[in-house]
Amino acid sequence: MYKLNKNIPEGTRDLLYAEADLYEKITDGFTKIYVDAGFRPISTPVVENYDMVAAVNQSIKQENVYKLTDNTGHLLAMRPDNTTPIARVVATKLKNAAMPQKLYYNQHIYRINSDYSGKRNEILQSGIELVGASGLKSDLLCIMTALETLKSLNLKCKLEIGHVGYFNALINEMNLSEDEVQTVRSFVDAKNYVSLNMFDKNLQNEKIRKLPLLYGNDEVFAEAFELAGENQDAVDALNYVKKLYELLKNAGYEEYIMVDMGMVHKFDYYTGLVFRGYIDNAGEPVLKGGRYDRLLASFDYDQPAIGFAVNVCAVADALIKSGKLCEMPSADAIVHYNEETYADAIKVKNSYVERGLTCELSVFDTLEETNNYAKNMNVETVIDTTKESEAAEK
Amino acid sequence: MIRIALTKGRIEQKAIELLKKAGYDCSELEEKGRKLVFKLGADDIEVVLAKAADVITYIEHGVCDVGIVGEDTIMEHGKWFHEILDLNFGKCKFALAGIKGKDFYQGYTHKIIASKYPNVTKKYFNNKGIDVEIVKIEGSVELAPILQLSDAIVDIVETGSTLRENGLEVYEDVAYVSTRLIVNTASIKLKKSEIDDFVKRISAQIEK
Repeated sequence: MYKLNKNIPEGTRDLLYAEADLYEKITDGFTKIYVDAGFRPISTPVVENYDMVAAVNQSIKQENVYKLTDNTGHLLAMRPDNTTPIARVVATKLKNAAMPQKLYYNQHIYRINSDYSGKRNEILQSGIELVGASGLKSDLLCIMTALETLKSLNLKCKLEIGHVGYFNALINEMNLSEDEVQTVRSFVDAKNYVSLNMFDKNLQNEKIRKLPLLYGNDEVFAEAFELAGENQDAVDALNYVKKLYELLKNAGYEEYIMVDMGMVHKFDYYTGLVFRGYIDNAGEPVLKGGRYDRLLASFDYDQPAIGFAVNVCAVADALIKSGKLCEMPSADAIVHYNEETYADAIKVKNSYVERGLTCELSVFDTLEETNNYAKNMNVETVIDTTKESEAAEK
Repeated sequence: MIRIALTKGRIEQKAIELLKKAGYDCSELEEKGRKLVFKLGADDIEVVLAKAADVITYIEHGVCDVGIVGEDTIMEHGKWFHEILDLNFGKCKFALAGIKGKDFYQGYTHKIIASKYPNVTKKYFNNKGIDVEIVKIEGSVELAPILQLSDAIVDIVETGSTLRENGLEVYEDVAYVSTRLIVNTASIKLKKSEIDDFVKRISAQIEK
């Protein structure tokens, strides 16, 4: 006989009770922050055409995408990121809408990680995209919203900011081949000092070695300016980050912000400001974002954009590790009733709800079963409406 | 508090020497018995002993902040962490080896390679644009070419004496490796001052 596979696919999870509730609480909390900042919701399909995913976002490898086919044999992808589909929507459905568009989402992404790595293949992301605006104020809005989402978790947190223009300016003056730039980029991104040093032995350019060290607080700027020297593009990028840093510092965010001028990404996707958020008990950045002014142009609609995404699964895991998982409270009361007292039972329930309490209607036929259920679920009060009706019959 | 994952065995001995030179009290670590977690004297540092590949897993998941592990393991298993220091001990190399006197690249048949390091092997031959079939072996890889299971092996070679005694030789070097200090991507930011201090003390004592 065929044996049913009762397991769920690698990298996915079932969530129950307080844990499922925690995910909702996190996204509800974030949503409130986004809405207060003027963002409006967007939701896109779980599946997209594979061509779009592959063509637009080169950082996503073919083997990491879940693929399906539609009824005509075309290849579909379960969305591996949220920014690309949102860019698609803005470039099509919102092409004639007033700019900027401020959008937020809470939806899953799907990526195939290698087996037994303990990594999730289904990740709930919560984030915002601000499309059609560039400049200091739009960057500030995004950074501030990111800071508020991190702070709302009540864990130790840091948001680090950087600018890809700094790295790009410095690497440009070195006259490296495209392959070499890509190599240096991945080493600096991974803060792989060892490989960078070995690479530099052939290159003899001290600046490269120092790039990954440029992280910390105020003190970083002096070193970074020294490294930038006469390179005007690098100085401009640095001045911009410094200005943002000081604005945020004066606004009272000092203890939450850091600078990392060595923050680049493996792929040349971001075009300006970049930032990452860290919280206690999460072994990876839980928030990633930046300015991506070229993405919309791939959809023939040239618009600047900035956004970030929070990995809600990583946030939930960190909250649980920090002992912040609260068991859900039991109902305050349960009403036992029969057909004659149904209307009374509803009245009793409503009287509880009006007082801000919770009250369940029993689904059992006998009072004994209702009592047992109440005991199992820690419901303190059992209200029996059937006694009066029985008494009335007699 | 920072937590260090230390690779058991040969790396452990050398690393303890280095920690002692840097002024850390390793007495608990030296009389370990069956314990798995140790304190470094009065310093707010905890050390756990683990198998090499597990060191990487602990660092990637962020349950340990700093790891001491061989580059060979990083090449085979590593993905996402910061590689901060070359500790300059435990030096050896990855090599392609096989029966002495044979020309590995001769002939047109599909080559079979036996290795404990299938990822390193795959990457090496992919970069060369050569298709090979890789067989994963857990124990003495040198047996594979002797038993004619494979045309060659990719393995760690230190002195080469095991190869010689079994009639094998190194065809070519794949990569040189040594012991590295790695740091979790979040710890490096959230525990910056503690980790900076640790790295500074250690790097001052690395043999050049």
